[in-house]
Amino acid sequence: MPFLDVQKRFGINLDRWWTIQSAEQPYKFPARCHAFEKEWIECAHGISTIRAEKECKIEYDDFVECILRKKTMKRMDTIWRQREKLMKEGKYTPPPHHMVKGEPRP
Amino acid sequence: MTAAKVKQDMPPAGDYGPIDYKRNLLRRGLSGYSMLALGIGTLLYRYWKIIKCNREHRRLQIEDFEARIPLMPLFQAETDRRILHMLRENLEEEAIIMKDVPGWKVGKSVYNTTRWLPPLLVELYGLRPLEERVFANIMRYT
Repeated sequence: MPFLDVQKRFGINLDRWWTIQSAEQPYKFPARCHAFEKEWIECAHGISTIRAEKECKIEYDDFVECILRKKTMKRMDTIWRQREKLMKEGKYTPPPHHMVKGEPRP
Repeated sequence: MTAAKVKQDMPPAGDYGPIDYKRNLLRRGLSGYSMLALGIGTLLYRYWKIIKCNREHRRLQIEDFEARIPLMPLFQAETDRRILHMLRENLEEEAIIMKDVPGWKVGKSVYNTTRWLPPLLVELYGLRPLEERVFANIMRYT
């Protein structure tokens, strides 16, 4: 409860560690999107949802992209399709180490 | 009822010998208390041996770590160089592939921030055959 902070009064940590990704972890292992989440929370905390949606859009978009990687995959997908198209038309041959021949570099 | 002697089955001359019907468990071997003491003694001895062996194992493990930890910056630097090299190659390949696509910015980051993010396996091995990606996925955790 917000006004009776029982856990802080008794100094125990029953469920604070799984509320957000950026919470205190044992052995200090950070989450993959720790930085983005921290930025977003710092931006959006204390102001209302309606305002936060407008003002913290950049941080939120980055956070969601870090988790879901939709834009990254879409970008890779476009490159792949273009590559397949060019390879079928014969205009592009990938360098030998990208196919199975040749020695694997680097 | 005749007094004639009928041939009957009688015991042999002189009675049978003595029959032993009493318990005849041999009093041999250790007593109960001493067996218990032997068992507990073996347990305690083995516990002590295990403790000693674990400590020795820990010492050897520390020695292994002491060899590994100073080399970690070297390995990390190598991996970083390799990753950057692969990203650079991918960037150049992408420039060649997407030459004719209108409105494509080569190497455009999908994020609004300029922070360095560790690249995904897909970003590194995207243009390579599938086995390399699978192998890299396995090697990541070994």
